[in-house]
Amino acid sequence: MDCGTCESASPVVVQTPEVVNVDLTITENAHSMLDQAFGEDRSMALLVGVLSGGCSGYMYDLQIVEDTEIDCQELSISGFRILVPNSSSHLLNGIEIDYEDRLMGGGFKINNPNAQSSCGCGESFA
Amino acid sequence: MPRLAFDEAKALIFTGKDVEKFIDGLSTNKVEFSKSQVIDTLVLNNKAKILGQLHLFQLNHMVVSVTVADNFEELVKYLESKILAQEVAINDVTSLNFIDIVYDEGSINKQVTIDKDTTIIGINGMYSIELYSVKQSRKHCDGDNESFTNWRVDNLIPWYDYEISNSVNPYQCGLGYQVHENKGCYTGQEILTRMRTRNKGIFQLISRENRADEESKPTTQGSERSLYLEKS
Repeated sequence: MDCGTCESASPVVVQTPEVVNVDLTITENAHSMLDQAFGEDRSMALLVGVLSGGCSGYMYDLQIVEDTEIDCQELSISGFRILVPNSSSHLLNGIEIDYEDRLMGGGFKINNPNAQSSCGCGESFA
Repeated sequence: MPRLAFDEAKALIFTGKDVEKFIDGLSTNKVEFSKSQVIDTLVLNNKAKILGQLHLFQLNHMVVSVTVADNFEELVKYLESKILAQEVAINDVTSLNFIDIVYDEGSINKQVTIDKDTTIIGINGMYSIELYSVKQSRKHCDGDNESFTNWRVDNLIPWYDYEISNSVNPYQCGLGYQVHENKGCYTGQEILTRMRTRNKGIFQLISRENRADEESKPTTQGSERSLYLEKS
């Protein structure tokens, strides 16, 4: 087969999503939990990203990181460093990070105005 | 072994270190590439309807997909929208290749073989898809639609625009074998799992002799026998 990787082939076109300036909020519950998680050390950051996959096509990805190689925009909200990858900024603009204190299905939750639908566990959205 | 031009099929090339994880996260079958193996998998929408079927194999540093979709542009747009920060590039090389189906050759391996300039992939042990450069002349296509249809009916093979379309899910068109029951989440998975556990809405592809008094309509009409989808 001809895979088009020879010199005469046109270069591979990689589509890059539009980058938007993200605005996000953190609820009081989430704020308390982040306070516990970070302690006094505010040099760490909360990385709020999106991965492909999950029941609805996209999955949230929350990590506490010192730094990242991913191209991100950095926000400072209530004294916390929040990193949002530019590649998923169009999916995360306007989100609210919440924390639900429940024995089952509890934890951080993202309320996303861009999501048309979410799967039952709330980790995946479309 | 009859040969037919498979002009509905497209050839996509995926490159980048995240390709395996990327396709596995978006499709119904377990995607773990091993040398020469062909993986048949489906990309579904949120309602578990089929966006496209991918016949995948690894070739050097690339993953090649022979792809069939009702709306190919929609499928590519869908896949591209899921790349985000992953190292994945998708390139359409359909215009560089002829794609043929070779059928009625008995049981074949689900493997990739390269014979001179032709890449041959075995699909579900039943037929082969061949890809070769348009710089060569097209091989003589001696098969015809009628004999291909009759062969499909005899071998219970669902086909595009007959059983398979973007208005059905894998369990409604005889492609349930491409759904891995134990893999993690992918788009449409919740719906398929619910159908399976409740044994609801699952259809089976069957072949029956044509009868004048047949009430139900076949999905594929053969000359002596036809294909029907019936609730299992």
